Amino acid sequence: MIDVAFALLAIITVISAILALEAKEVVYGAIALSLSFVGIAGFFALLDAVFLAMFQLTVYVGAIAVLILFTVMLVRREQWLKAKEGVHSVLGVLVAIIVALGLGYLVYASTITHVTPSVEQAPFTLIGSQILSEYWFAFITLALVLASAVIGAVVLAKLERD
Amino acid sequence: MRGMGSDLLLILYTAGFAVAASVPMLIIPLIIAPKKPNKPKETQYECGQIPSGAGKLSLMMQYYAYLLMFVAFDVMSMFLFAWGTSISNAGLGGLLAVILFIGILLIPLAFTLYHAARRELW
Amino acid sequence: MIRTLIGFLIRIVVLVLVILVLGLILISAAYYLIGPSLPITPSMLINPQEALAFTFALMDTDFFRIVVFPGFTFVALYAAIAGLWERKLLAKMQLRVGPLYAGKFEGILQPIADVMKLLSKELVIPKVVDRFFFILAPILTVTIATAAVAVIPVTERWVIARSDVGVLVIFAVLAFFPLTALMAAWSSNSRYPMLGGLRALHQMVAYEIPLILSVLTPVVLTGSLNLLDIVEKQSSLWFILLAPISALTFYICSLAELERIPFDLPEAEPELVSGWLTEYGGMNFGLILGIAVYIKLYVLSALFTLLFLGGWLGPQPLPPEFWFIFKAFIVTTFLLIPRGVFPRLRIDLLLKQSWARYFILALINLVIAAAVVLGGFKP
Repeated sequence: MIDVAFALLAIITVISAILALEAKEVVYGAIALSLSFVGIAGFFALLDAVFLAMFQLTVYVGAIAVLILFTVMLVRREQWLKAKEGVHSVLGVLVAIIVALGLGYLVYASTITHVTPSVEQAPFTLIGSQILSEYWFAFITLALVLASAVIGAVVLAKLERD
Repeated sequence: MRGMGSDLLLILYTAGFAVAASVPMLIIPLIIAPKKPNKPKETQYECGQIPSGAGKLSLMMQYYAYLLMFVAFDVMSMFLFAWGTSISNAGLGGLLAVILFIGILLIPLAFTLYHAARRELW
Repeated sequence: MIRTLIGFLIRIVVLVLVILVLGLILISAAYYLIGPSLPITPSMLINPQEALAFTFALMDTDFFRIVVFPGFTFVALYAAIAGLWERKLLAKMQLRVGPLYAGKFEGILQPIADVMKLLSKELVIPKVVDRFFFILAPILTVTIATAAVAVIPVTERWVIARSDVGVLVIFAVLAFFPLTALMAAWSSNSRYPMLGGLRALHQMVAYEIPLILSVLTPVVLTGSLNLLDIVEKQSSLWFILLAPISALTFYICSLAELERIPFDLPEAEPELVSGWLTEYGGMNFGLILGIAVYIKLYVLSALFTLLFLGGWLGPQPLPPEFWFIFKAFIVTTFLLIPRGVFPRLRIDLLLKQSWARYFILALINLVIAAAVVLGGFKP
């Protein structure tokens, strides 16, 4: 019933995500974040979406994790290392555990044992042809979103000395 | 023919074998090399001078815009790969859509190159 | 004198024994974990027919491919030979002789001497470094470089993983290298490595996009991401003739990804001591600078041969394996030559050139190839 690969990937992803938030040294957190991205790529591979897994690795680990790591390295402040834990964090952990147990009980108590997809596995060449013929509007919108993201990021990052 | 999953498994095996083969290469010096730590060997190397000052620098902030661009253009390249594998299915309309896509993304390229060249802004 | 000679001999003997023992443990562990269930019976020692059949059956298994032929041992040998060839080539270009004394013929055993030297050196780890990442970064770099080797076919028969998205696996692997360089630079808590690491990061990142776009041209010409298909489609015409600009851009971006001259700034020797590798000594250094860089060199040269030079296709009397290795070696030579020829590019010129020029160049050839394919050209 329990798939070993899935369990292993789940443990790695969740633990590195927790480490990414809770690590005292922020650079360790950024590296743990990239490890959780790798875990998610593994999930894509388990679902037979190999193209998406490689996409995730190249874009998330290769670009986004690198950007986060670079930024964090240059902006480390000493006061982050000395942040104190309050009572709020314990409350947060309790709420998270209650929500997780509730969701788990809901899934377990239902009679679903198997999820079978109603469509068969699509080859990744379909991604290209569909996105250009049927969803071309979303494609162009994607270009506009990327362009505005880059321009906005550059405008925000530079000093206002114009 | 094997399914696609087992190919990734083989890649993981290769990587695992590389780890297993490189760890002994770090263990061997631990076994047979001399261990004589002394003070100059243990500090950082700065061409013979004694290092002073903090260890991190932010001299490279002026190239930050290039990293910002890289994220967007990485996503663009991956979508171009999605197009490239199905180019005969997409046809001429697909080519026009892709040219429009690349054209829209050339605008932030020009913008960022212009602003990255003005070093007083960073 | 007798004391040091005996000490030296003892050290060499211990080294060889430790290598043999660890190697045997490693190979047998790999054999039992991922290997075939071919039985090894003692009668093979006596009966040569059985031993021969066993050997041929072994050559078809995944274990053999990962460990020996297109996998780790082959790549390590290629790396060693490329290292020696680089030094001899550069030496001849600079009117020197290069390594001469190890081995009877022109220093041919030099790589072995280098490995033994590095293995017996003290592993100096300065007190201020972050020990975990300092040791993890070289291992990670070697692992990731070897993962790329898994999808590179030497012939149709000799490939570890026939992946339908082989080209994308190489990009996913290339995307990890800035991360490990940054990890290595940050863990050595000092300024020269940090500066060198940031420069290495910016350079690798800036030249990844033109590399990806120039690889896209052969993919567009064949319509498949499988490296085996791309080579098959070149049986009539090599893609370097159809897409020369893309080949040129790929070549220049490989020089930048490998941090070779003229893109040498992260390791700028007179400038930054040794860039982001300053604090690394002994086998740590040997792992990163020696093995991982030469494995990357093999991967990029092999990729160039597969994408642009027709892979293993060649006139029949010589086997296709020979043609592949021969072509990859020629590409490697071309990647090694600029070290003796060109000066070094400044970092801002380097980055601006990549984004302003090579990016546009790669795009131009991509659009031309796409138009050609849509016009009805079927390679």
